[in-house]
Amino acid sequence: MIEQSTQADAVLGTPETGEAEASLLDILDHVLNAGVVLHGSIVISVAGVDLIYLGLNAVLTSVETALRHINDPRRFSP
Amino acid sequence: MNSSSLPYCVFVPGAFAIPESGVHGSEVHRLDAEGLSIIFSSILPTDLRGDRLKSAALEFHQTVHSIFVHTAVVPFRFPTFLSDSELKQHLMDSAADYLDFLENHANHVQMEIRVLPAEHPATEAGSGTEYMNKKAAERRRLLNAADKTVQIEHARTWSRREVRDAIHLFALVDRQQVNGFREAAVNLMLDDVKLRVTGPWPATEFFSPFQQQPAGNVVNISRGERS
Repeated sequence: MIEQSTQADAVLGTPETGEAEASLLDILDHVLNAGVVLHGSIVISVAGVDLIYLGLNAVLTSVETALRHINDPRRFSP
Repeated sequence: MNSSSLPYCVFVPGAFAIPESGVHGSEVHRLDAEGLSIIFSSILPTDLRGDRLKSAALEFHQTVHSIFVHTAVVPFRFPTFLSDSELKQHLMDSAADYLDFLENHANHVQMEIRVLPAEHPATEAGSGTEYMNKKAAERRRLLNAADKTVQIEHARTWSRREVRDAIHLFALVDRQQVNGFREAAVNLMLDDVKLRVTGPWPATEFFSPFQQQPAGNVVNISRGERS
């Protein structure tokens, strides 16, 4: 069974479709879990609750990503 | 530049325009140094509160994507905030690593395949042993499917990550090979698993310049004042 999703679907697709919604989740997963992580401050709020990380080499991340970094402490990015 | 910058991505400048606006309609600025460019917006962290976070994340993606369609990029993780001096210092300090990656992968993108169980894992097993046996069998199916999946042509190299109830495969693919890769993935005949193909994405999974260096030798940016 194959499911496909492209970035174009998410950017241009209609949100009513399941595929576009799935692509939306893919995009959010990427912007939150992929990319360069720097020392600095991260401020994010979810559902009205502010989560603030100040001066840490850490970011809001998924458990999956956190485990990856724990297993490879030298890993810097992404 | 404002003292609070939201950087989007690093890239090698070329004959293409940068987007005029980014997150929440903010002006997109470009910082050039060492043969590289960073685009960023002057935004306060507090601007991303509450309901605006989701739209900001999508606008962040679209801003990065508008560059990515032209060339390779290294995105920053959303949301990262740096002061002006931190941003410039980072680009100066890390230019060699960025240039090495961006030049070597100028024509590469990342395709992703998630190998998932065809059905949600059964939890109604009668005993703990039976449950564990089912889990083990399911994992074997996923691993076998992943082994077959990485035989797909068009991929230069693969990275694999095993997560709970799934295996994530990351393929480094030439831009011109994206459609061929996707078609090959779709044509895979695998039983008892579901493949979810996404991409193309920036090849972030393959950007790890600091893996080869001692643990303590990472980019270290001085901490800025934050409210």
